[in-house]
Amino acid sequence: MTTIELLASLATCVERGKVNAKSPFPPDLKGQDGADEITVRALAEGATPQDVLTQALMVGMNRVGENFRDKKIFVPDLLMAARAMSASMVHLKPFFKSSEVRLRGTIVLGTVAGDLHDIGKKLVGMILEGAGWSIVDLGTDVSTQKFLDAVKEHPDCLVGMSALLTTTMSAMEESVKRLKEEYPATKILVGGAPLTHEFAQRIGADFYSPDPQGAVEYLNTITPMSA
Amino acid sequence: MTNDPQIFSVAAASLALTQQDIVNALGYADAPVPEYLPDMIDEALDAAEPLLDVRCGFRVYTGTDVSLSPDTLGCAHVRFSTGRIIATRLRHSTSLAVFAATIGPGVETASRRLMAEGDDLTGFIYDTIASAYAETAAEWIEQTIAAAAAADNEHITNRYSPGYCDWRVAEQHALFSLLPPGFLGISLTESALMLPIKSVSGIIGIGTGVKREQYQCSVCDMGECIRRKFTTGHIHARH
Repeated sequence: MTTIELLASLATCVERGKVNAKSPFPPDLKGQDGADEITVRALAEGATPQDVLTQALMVGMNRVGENFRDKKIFVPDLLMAARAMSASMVHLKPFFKSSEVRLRGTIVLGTVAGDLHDIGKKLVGMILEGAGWSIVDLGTDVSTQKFLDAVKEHPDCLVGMSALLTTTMSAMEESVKRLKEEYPATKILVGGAPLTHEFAQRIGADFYSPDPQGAVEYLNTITPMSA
Repeated sequence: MTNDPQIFSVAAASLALTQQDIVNALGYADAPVPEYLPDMIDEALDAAEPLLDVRCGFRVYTGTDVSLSPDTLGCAHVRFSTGRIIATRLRHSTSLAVFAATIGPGVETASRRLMAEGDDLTGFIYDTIASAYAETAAEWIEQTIAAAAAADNEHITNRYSPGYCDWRVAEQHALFSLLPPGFLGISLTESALMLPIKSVSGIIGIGTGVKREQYQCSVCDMGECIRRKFTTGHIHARH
């Protein structure tokens, strides 16, 4: 296989959630190499770590994000894809420090104060990671101060906030307001079941999407990725 | 019906969920199910059952304790702003049953532990199972209230919960003020989140002139509601 074919195959492994050769899923790829082995082969055949990221992992995860948005796949499929991506990323991590892999930037994610819902925010993090972002996940019940501290620690970051309760939307409003006061240039994305475009606009957030892929597409417009 | 608080400890077997229930809840009601899922679901269902601590209960308010308007609901010292959808469906009630149901923290805790250990998929399946059990526990108490009402030749409405159909979650605090302190071991956070998280609370109307309708998701705009997912499936508590 050429490196181009290997990268295409790797993208398919991510899209289909084929983690490694031992993985019996999906059944039509049983016995074949998965994301783990193909990443090793691609790097050995001369693909750069950046190629692996941009031409395989991001391609595969973008398809996953689109299919998830279009309800062609569901959360378990997305989590299997994330597993496959992680199996590949293990081989790229050593190149992060040497800058041979350039990520788009950092996104600080958190579920706002008073809200303990974690899963939706984690799914967003997985898809954004697959789009070439480094994710700093602050967890749930994140205070405004914790968001402020994270932005101070990661000065060029973007911030993603999640709220799943109507009662915690006010906490989101407070956090957005304080962040914009102290860091007006920091882009803030918001999401969560009870939110709307109108609410996001009213509280001063920069972007709202009902699904993770919407955030990916927005971020692609403001921070294009060079191969 | 008695006005004393009623509390039940419910055997997990009474709420037995099937693999198909969880398949539906995961989104695959009308889609091909990945081959890995059925076995994972079966294993998770087996592991979850001993972690369940299902408690359900209710308290009935009647007579002068109940007053209804086109978009509010009066119950003892509380007046709920339920919105028109719920108020309309409860308008012929002569009694109101304030209920709660919980499956305890066990399955939720196991889900979080699995995710923290990096097994997001199994953790998510546990979380889905926990949500499904909470719904079946709520269905169990609804059926119990229906049976008690039937003994008095009365009927019940559907059950309605804060956070659904325009009824604000914040009114959860007022709802729990109608139940004894620490009811079923459920506590509320400042943001009105119930702990254990996998709990359900709400109100059911009772009377001779009310009826339980087919659940009508079309009247509500909550697209990601778990009840909406389940209405395509067939979850029923065994009673």
